[in-house]
This record gives sequence, C-alpha cells and structure tokens, in this order.
Amino acid sequence: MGEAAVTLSAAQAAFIEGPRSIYATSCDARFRPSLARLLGCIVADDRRQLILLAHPLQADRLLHDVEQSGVLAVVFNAPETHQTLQLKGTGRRLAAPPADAEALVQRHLDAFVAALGPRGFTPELVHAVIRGSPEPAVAIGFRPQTLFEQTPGPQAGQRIAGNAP
Amino acid sequence: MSLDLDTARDCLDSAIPCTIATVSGDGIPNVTYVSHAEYVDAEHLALSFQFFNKTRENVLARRAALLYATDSESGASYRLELEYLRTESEGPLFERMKARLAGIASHTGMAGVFRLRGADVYRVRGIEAVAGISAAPRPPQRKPLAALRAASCAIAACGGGFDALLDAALDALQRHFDIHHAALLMLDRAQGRLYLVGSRGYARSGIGSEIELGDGVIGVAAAQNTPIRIAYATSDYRYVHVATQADGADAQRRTEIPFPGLAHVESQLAVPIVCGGEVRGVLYVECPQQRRFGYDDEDALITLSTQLGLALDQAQAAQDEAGDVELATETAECPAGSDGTPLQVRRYREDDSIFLDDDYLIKGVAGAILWKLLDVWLAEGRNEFSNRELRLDPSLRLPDIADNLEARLVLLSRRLAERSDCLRIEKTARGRFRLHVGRPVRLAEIGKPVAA
Repeated sequence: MGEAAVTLSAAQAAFIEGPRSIYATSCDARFRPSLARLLGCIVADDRRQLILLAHPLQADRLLHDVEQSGVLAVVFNAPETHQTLQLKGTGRRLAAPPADAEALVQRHLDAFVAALGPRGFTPELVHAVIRGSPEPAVAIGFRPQTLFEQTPGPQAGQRIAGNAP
Repeated sequence: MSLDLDTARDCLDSAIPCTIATVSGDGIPNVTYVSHAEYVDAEHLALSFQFFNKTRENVLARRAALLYATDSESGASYRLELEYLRTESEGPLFERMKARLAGIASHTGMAGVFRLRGADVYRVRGIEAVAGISAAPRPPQRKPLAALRAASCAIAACGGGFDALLDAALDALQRHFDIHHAALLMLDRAQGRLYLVGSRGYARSGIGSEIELGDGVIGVAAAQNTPIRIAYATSDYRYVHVATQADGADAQRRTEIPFPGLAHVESQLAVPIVCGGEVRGVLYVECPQQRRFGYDDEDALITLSTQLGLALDQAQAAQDEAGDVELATETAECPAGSDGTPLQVRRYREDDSIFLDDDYLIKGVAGAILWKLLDVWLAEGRNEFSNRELRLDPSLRLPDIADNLEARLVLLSRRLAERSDCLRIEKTARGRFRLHVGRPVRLAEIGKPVAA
C-alpha cells in the first residue's frame, strides 16, 4: 500500500459521516481477514484522514490485525438508499479516542434509531446491533488511499477519484 | 459447545444484509455487502454471485472469506469463517437462490440490476458469536414444531381417504400454523403441469387451475424438487393471469381456470410433496406480509408434506386394492325416463376438455373420465363404477405408474360440485363411486380422434 493518501470530496466526506452502517476489515500475517461493525466515524478537516470508532470487544481481532498489518478497508452504507462506498488505506490504533467520541457514538445511534424506526426496527434492536455493550469506544486513525463505488450493480467495485491532494 | 450453522441460520434470513471480508492475492483486504446468503446444511452455505467483482477475484485466489451476519430480530451477530468450494449455476440450490434474490431485488429497488450468475457454495469452517453484542429478546414467535405436531396428528387421525386428507392438511395449516392462504396441487407428469385440487382462503377455490412445471414458485418447486421461498413481492414469480383476447371457436373454448392467488402477495413458500423419490405435488402457502415464512416454517411444511405424500400414496393404494375385488354391478334407471331440459355435454377430443352446456368444466384425464362415465350411463344405464375399470380403460390414457387416479377423481368431483347442479360423484366404498345424473344428458363429441 504505497499510494499517497487521497483527499475526499466534500460530498464523500458528508456521506461518510452519515450516519452510515460501517464495517471494517483487516488481515493477519497469514492473510486471514478480520471484520467488525464500527460505532462511528469522524472525517478530519483536511478530509485526508478519518478517525474510526470501534467497540473494543466486537473489534478485538480487527484491532489486533490493524496493529500488526496496518492495512484496512472500510465500507460505508446508507441502508435507506443502498448507496455504498469502500475506502482502502492504512490505519493504526490511537492511544485515546477524541474527547467527544462517546457523544458522537450516541448521536450516530440516535440518528439510526430515527432512520430505521419507520422500517420496523425497534430502538432496542438498533441499540443491540449498532452499539452493543457499553464499553467505551476505541479509536483507529485511518488514511484512505483508494476509493471504490460499492453501490449494488455492475459498477460496484469500480475505483473512483477523490479530490486532488 | 461448538456452534454450527443452525445456530446462526436466522441471520441468513435477516432484514440486515451480511457483509463479507476477503483478502487479495497481494494482501489487501476488501469488504462488501452480500445480497443473499442461503443455508445449505449445518456445515455449508451459499452466497449469491451476481457480478465479477473484487470479492469474487479474492475468493477465487485465496478460497477464504469471513462473513458477518446479524439476526434482525435480536441483533445477535456471528462471524462465519468460510472456505469456498464451488459455484452452481443450475439445479435446486441455484433456483432457490434465484427466487429469493428476485424478491430481495424487487424490495431494494434492484430489479433488473440483480441477476444470479451462480450460487457460490462455502464450507463453514468456524462460527464465532460476536462479543460485546447485547442481543435484544426475540419477539414472541410461533412454534412451528408444536404446530407440526398438531398438524401431523390431524393427518394421522384422518380416516377418510384421499379427499379427506387434502382437507385435513389445508385445515391444519389454518388452525395450527396460522396460515390462511394455501393451495394443494398434484403433478401430471405426462402433461408437465400441476393441477389444483384444494385451497383455503380465496374467494374462488381455483380447483382445476393449472401451473406449468417451472412456472413461478410452485412450478419451480415441482420441477427442481426443492422448496422455493420468497420474502418480498416480485413480479418474476407472481401468477399473473391476463385474459387473452380470443375470437370465434376459440372464444367458446376457453379452458383456463384462474389460479386463486392473492392480488398482493409478499411472502410465498412452495414445498414439493414427494413420495418414493418422485414429486407428486406441491403444497403452496402465501401471505401479504413480508418475510412471513422462515427456515423453521420451511422445515415444518416440508416435513408435513412428506407425511401427506405418504398418506396420499397409501390412500391411493387402498382404493386400488378394494377396486380389484369389487366390480360395479348396480344399474341406474334408464335415462330415457328422466325429466327436464337435456344437459348438453361437449367433449373436445384434442384435450378432453368438457363443457356443460356452454360452461367449461375440466379437461385432461378428469375430462376423459367424466366422458366415459356418461357414455356408460347412457349406453348401459349403469351409474356405479370402480377405480379398477377406469385404470384398465385405455381410452383414459392413464400412466402405468403414479397415475394419481384418486387425485383426478377428487378434482372431477370438486369441479362438478362447484359447476353443476345436476351431475355429482359420490364415493360409495373403497375403490368405488356413484355418478348421480339429475337431468337427461346429450353428448356431443368434437374433433378428430387422438392418435393412440
């Protein structure tokens, strides 16, 4: 993964901050994948770095693999439109999450409850699926290098451009 | 205790799609959503292959994948470690997934986008419950196993033969499974179609309506000998009956009986009725509610239809044995003495379709049977008949094996009950029945004889 960090467009950044359904994957030294649902995401002001918020238990192996391999792929999906974007790049676990991480996780959760309620998902279910048990979130710093269109269809998987750095 | 796929099966039926992680040959991970994951057995599942994408490339390169699956009722989530085995592009599994995917595509606005190229079959090498998930209690559920027990007992207790077994099965679906729209169809293998012999929950019974093998969920279930289940409305598998314009002689010969299905249906499930390794018919249920039928319902109805298939086979055999020893001997009054306006019965030889005055009644073997009964009645004045004499009559062209004669008699009897006020068939003993004729009858045969 020797490519330079990509700069997300404003629209891409807005989409990613969603809130979206987010999953991240990494792999170990034997190239076995690890996979976890994430709790939220913050896009840095320069749109070249993201802070991913993960549940320490749910993402236990993912965190370990990121620490070891540094490679990461993250998919962001809007359940209501099926629009989906995948980012690939490098990551590392941060020593501490941002001070407002828990507030962001809560906002993310509240937004999902509001969005999915009309589709028959109860707040309890959304809480179970999105948040899980109440351990504080941990943070991964993520520098995306490539972007891929992942909305279902024949174009899924096509590499797309971010803004020029 | 180690987990097997049965533990996580409900996650594959979830309203929350699975995600799949793979790693490329040069070590770059990839994650994406899966349109549909299908349970195969406790150690295998299949994922829908629709597009040649990075996931496919990675799977073919390393044969390993990790699936994240969430139960949309409880939130319980699992990671499934998968090993790719093969891709199936035809056959029962492929057809099951194709039907499921059609419903999902329609529900997600992807009709015309999703097209199943193959069913990618994986071995499940390991299942891990995701830690840190506080699963919500599942809402109160029906208990399909308890319903199956009650329905099974009802069928076992049924002593009334073929006809009564059909009613017992359909009644049990309503009473014990809370399924209110159902149909039973038997297979005419020689003609390549299924004919409906019983239904519940519709304004019109649809008895005598026909489904071609391979047409919709019912036709595919029979053709592939596999359950077909759909969770969301899709036009791909709907039984749409558009009246075709016909004129002249054709207009007078319209023989289609509309299938009685719901105008708006979301959930559909068709399970084959199998006996001795052969598909004998299909049990079909439907519902206007999305995702009404799950894997547990599928299990229960397959088990029920297996029992029903055996019971129907036994009922057929019992009628045949009785018919061997008791030959029809009674005679009816001479038809010349009957009063009333004659009923004109027309038979078109090319398909044995029968019309009572101008109303279409039935065609095929059931039509040929009625024609024979009336012919004998007019010629000999006899109104008592045996299954055996029908079976031995070459003009009926019954197949030697699995002729479903009882099913055809039930079909004819029920059509007469619905469409005629003067013709009726009544069972009198095992393997025997009586034809009741309430008016004088005139027979008219149309068309050239069919070559033997």
